[in-house]
Amino acid sequence: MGILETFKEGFSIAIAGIAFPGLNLNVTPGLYPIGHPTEDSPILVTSNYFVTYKRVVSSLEKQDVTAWLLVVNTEGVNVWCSAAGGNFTAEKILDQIDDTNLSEAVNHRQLILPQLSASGVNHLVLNKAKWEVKFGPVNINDLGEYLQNDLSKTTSMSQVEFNLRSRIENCVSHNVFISLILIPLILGIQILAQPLGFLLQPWAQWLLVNVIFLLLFIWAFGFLVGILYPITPFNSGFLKGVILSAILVPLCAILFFTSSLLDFILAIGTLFLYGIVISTDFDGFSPFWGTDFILKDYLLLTGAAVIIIIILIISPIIIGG
Amino acid sequence: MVTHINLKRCIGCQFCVQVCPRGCFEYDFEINKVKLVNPILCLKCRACELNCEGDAIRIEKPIFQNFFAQLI
Repeated sequence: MGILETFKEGFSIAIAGIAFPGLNLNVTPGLYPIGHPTEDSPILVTSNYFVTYKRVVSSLEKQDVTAWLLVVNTEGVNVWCSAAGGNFTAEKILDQIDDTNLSEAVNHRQLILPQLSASGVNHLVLNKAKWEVKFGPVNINDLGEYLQNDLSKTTSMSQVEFNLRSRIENCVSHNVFISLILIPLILGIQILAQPLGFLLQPWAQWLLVNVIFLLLFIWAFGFLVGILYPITPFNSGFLKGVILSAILVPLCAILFFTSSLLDFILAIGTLFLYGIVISTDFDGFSPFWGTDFILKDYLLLTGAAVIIIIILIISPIIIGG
Repeated sequence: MVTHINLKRCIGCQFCVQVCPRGCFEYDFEINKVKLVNPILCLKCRACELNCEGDAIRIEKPIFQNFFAQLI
């Protein structure tokens, strides 16, 4: 996939998923032929999220794989998230097998499941129903090689990775999301600034005047977080954000916000706040961390955000601006 | 959370090796059982625990845990 296509894909996922959540993102569950499968052809199983389905089908066609594709009703959620959330289970697969009369389409009892479905699918339940289960590679692009190697995986086929291409794609959809958060933040501060004018008016005004700069900052910082992800110190997205913000935010403030001390402090505070929010939230795109890691990171973010917001509110009083 | 393997129950089915997305397990051909080689990489997805044929894997929350264990 070229860089432009990566951008387009990330953008369309964000727009479809975040801006228009009412859109139907599901593919109709069922049995789909890839190529011209026969009763000997392998059965592959996947989720019914439209992006997953689209990528699986196009990858299999590119690899010249002939197979049956059993699309399970995972409520339109991708493989890993639906497995972790209890929507991709052995029972759901069995329901889909019954609904599609799969046993009549093939002469074998072997299912190839995406490896990342294993956190939700108990293969022993499928074994009891006389289905043999193989957990295939993590990445669908390795499936052709996996089939050719008699269903054996290399170490790299079974491990998740977070390469530059997927980081950039995630950056695009994440930046769209973070940019949209800017609107309720600005509106919220404007509304609160009415009764609490003496406290919030300077920050509310600063946000309105610098909205374009903030948007540019969000996109530039968002890409830096994603691109530098493997080389920024620490595992924690929050700590990565603190490091990057500590370098970049004072630089931005010195270059663009020196009209007054208050302007300088509001710039430092707001940009630092956005920096740590962007970086912590990017944790969710990484396949390396579980929920307890992310919860701890959000706890740190919440503490830091409260302190920064208090500073932003009281600094006009202290400075007398 | 911490991953434990009860070697007495491990039957060497290797499903944990097959499903772990972080390469935490390795098969020991000398004893025909599985070893936990990279516990720090574990992201607690519980795929190994769910698919262990010998019911030998437990992912447990210890009473005391270093808050910054994985973060730094």
